[in-house]
Amino acid sequence: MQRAADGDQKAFAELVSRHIDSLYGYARRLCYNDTMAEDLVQDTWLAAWQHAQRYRPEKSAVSTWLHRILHNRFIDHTRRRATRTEHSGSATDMPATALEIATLEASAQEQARQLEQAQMVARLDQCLGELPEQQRAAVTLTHLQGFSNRDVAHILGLSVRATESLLARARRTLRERFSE
Amino acid sequence: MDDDQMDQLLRQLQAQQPSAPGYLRSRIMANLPEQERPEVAAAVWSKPLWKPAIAACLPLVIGFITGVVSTDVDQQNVSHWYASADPVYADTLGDYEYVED
Repeated sequence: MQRAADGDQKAFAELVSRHIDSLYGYARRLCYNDTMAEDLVQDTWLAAWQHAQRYRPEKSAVSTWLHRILHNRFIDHTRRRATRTEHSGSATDMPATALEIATLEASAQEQARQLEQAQMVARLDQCLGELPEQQRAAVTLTHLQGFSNRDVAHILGLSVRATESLLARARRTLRERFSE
Repeated sequence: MDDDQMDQLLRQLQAQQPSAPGYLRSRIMANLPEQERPEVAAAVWSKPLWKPAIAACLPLVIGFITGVVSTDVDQQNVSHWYASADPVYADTLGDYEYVED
């Protein structure tokens, strides 16, 4: 990171390779739109490059810092547009792919079980997409990106206690919507 | 759905996290502008320059310190010389015993 802050493009490229999939996954969960997710990730790396010297290793890990930038960019973006991006069909592509794999590889009985499982995952994915932004961000960062509550609090700009409360509320909402 | 079941589904969803498309890396690296850094600070604190800069300044600092010390010693010597030669001048310096007739 220090080398990247000194303008070393090779070091920066290594950072990009290490963290881009995680950032892209988070961006996809935030906006459910491939093009917007790509723009968001590119904006994030641009900001990281331009302000790399502001990174303080004692405050957070690089991954946490990058996710915080991405989250703030997403908020800026949605405020500018003032309209929530529609849950596009592309989000259901993943479960469809999982279904195809299950169809090809499993026996008939196993196939039925996997089909049911894939449908449940797809349904959960859909419910996650329908959560309010903050709740969706908290669930995504904790359960899909693997961040600790402390890191999630840092990324979202909340206290740890507020984050725990937000996460509990998000899980409750997710469970209710899934059971509807 | 209970908590365990939800956690299990979330783990499966995590396993399906999409990877960034390959072209995105190239696009990011191709569009990097110059970093926003103050020019002078960047030049002074960049690794190749700060060591020679300090090395160049060191003789000046040493020269300044030794110069001040030697001037101070000279000044003391001059003061004693004037004190012994000129009672009036010595009086202003405060180290001359003035005796009235």
